[in-house]
Amino acid sequence: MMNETEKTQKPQWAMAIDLDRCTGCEACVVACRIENNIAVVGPEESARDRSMNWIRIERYMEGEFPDVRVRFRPVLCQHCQEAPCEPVCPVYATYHTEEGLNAQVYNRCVGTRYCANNCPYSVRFFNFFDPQWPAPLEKSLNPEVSIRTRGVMEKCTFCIQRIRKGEEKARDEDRAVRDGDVIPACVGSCPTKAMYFGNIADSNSEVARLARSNRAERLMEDLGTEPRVIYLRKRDQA
Amino acid sequence: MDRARDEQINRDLLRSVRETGWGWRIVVAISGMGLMAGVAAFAYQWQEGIGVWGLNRPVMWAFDITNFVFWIGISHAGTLISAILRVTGAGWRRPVTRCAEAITVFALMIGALFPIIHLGRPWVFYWLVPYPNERGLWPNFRSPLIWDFFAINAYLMGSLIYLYLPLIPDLALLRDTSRGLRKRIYSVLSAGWRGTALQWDRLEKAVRVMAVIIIPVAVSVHTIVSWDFAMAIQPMWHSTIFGPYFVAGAIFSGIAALIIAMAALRRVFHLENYLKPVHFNNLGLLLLTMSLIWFYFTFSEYLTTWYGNEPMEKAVFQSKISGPYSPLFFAMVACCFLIPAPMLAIKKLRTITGTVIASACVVVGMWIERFLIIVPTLSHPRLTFNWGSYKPTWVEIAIMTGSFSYFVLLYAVFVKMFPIVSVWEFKEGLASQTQPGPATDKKVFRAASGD
Amino acid sequence: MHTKAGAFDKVNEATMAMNRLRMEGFTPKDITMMSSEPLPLDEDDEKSRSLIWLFSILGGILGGVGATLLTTLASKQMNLVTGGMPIVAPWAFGIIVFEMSALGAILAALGRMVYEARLLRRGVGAEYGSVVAQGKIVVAVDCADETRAQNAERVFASCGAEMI
Repeated sequence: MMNETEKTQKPQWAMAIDLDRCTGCEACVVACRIENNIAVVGPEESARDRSMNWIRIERYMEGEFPDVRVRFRPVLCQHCQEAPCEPVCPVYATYHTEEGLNAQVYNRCVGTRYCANNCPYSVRFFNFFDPQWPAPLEKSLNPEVSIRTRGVMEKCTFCIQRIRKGEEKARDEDRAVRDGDVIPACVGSCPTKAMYFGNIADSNSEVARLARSNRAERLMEDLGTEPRVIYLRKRDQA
Repeated sequence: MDRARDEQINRDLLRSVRETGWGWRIVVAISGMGLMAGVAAFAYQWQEGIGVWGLNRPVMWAFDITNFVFWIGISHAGTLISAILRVTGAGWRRPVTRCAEAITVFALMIGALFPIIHLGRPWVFYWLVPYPNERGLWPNFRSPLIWDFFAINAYLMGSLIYLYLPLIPDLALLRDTSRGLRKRIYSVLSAGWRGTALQWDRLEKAVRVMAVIIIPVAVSVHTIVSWDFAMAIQPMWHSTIFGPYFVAGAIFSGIAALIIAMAALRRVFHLENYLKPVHFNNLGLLLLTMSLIWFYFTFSEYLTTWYGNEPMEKAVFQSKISGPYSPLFFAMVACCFLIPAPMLAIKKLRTITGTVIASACVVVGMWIERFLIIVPTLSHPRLTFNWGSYKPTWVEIAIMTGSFSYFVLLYAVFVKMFPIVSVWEFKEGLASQTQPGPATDKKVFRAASGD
Repeated sequence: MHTKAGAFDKVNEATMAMNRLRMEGFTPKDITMMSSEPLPLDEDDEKSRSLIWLFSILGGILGGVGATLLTTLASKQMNLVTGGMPIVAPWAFGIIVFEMSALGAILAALGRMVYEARLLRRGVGAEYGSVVAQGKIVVAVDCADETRAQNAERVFASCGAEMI
């Protein structure tokens, strides 16, 4: 397991999401879809619970009518340090990288779907059919992200292609990565700046600072999965 | 040895091999068509993608894995039961063992197909096999699916050998009493068996060793199948009771399948003098025991969940007790306990017909049990926003029908090629019955030879 | 050298013939008894020592060691962390070691049984198959010379055998 506070050579990627700032606008959902070439399954398949959203806004209602409040929570792969999805894969299609990412190797996946069944956050998505993009969406495909075929599992990568670019840039400039080097699509698209991304092993980074906040919590911490996504509680709940 | 009686036994028990009736032809034709339907459905799924099934997010397993667990469960009919009866020296086992061992082998073969059928990319199933390969990859031995691979392989190999060994003398008998191509086939299969005293001795020793080894293997197989679920941290899956619960359920459904198969064989091949009411009575009592054990396990499992009152577990629990899955739940309780237990407990009802009705209920009930273990948990993930449901499509139903047809077909072909009641073991049993006292085979011989 | 054989209807006739043949100087190696039902070996007979159980233990050990090596070495070669578990995870690998031990034991027992029972070999007896199949007990004797052959025939006749 990668320790967050440990001094490692490699950056330890993490995300912080301020629930107080999230308006549930779903800009992140759209940005993620375009950035990561996520297949469009269409309305019929979507009605059969087969839509793919690497990040989604979960809506929970609180209270009785007319005093109803809606809580939003963007949920994406939590990149657990002790991920339940990893050991159950028989072919190492999902494993843990040295940067603390929960990696998914599409070409290695045979499609047992065991990982999705063992994910407490339900953030793994299966390609039930070959991917499709109704015109003109196929023109917007990102050349830096591979297309997944049918029969394989996929999920949020923390925009691994952008992480690699940021790391290369830092290496070219002969320095450690710093805030702003890597901005995943969802983070960059958030109009209220509710999302932060960075190296949590660097105690000066924004994510590390937010992780120390008294509002910081992680989803289902009691399961011992040690997620790398930190949620900042709404102040009225703090 | 009574020559006339021997010849009668040979005639009766080899009749299924020698004569082909219309009943057999019709069974083969119907099951063959069922198998074709299943194969066609699988071909369609292969071509289109697994989306032609009713699976979705969050229900990523349903009929596929239900059938997998069901067939692996049925496979516990044979080798385990016959090994236990052999090790404990139960004399009445003799006409039953081969019938049971054949169920094991075929149910395992079919059960092992489902993990392949259910893959998103079934054409790369061999990636799970550990061998040095050009991809430079090994499978992940920490995955319960790889444990399944090893366990099912060991059990299938063991069961095949355990079926084959006691079959050898009968194959030699077939070889010596047939002509032409059949003789040549049985010559190869009987592996040069001559029936020398040395061969009989070694056969008996080997079968005894196998019986002892196969019992823990059989227990481990269904335990590991249960661990596919118990290793996951999902509500009502992550349970330490699952290993023994599944093993008990497997033996339960296995005995039920055995009773049904025996009744069918008895009727079709006129084996009334071999598969007698006493066998159905004894197996019925075993089935009753397993029904009680099954109820005990189920009650403990659900009681602890209800009392613990943990919200995520409770959600799954409620969906089974009072939610959308409750009709299935109560059907399961009725089929696995409320109907068969009283039927089997009352001596007057423990007839052949009675045990067959009870067994049919149990087989249906145990299929529902596996479905209810898999689907309600998956449709109620921890984040309630993602709750879902599941409905099968015709493709899944066709594949399931295909699996049942395939089983019947394999069994029918087996019966056509080999005597389904072990000829030599049956004669051996008669010989030991005619001798006074609790005689082992050795003592019988001594007594007969005036030693 | 040729073989003489007699077919018996009753077990005690066959055993009587075997005992008399031994008195005539035939060794247990020369005499083969064949039947369609299990007839036990004499315990003092040297053929009765079986090593099937020993081979099955050895096969089990071999399977277990093989599985330990396979799981450990292959996992070390992959060297991929999953779920924060150690690369070599004895809890998980133990299950595979168990299954492979059982498989090794079964295969070794089968192999040893085939060897000890002289299966898959050409030997005496093929011509007696149809007689054995009738439920008779066949006793076959390897006779080194003509006198011995006559002795054997005499013994068979005295015990009520039908010559084949």
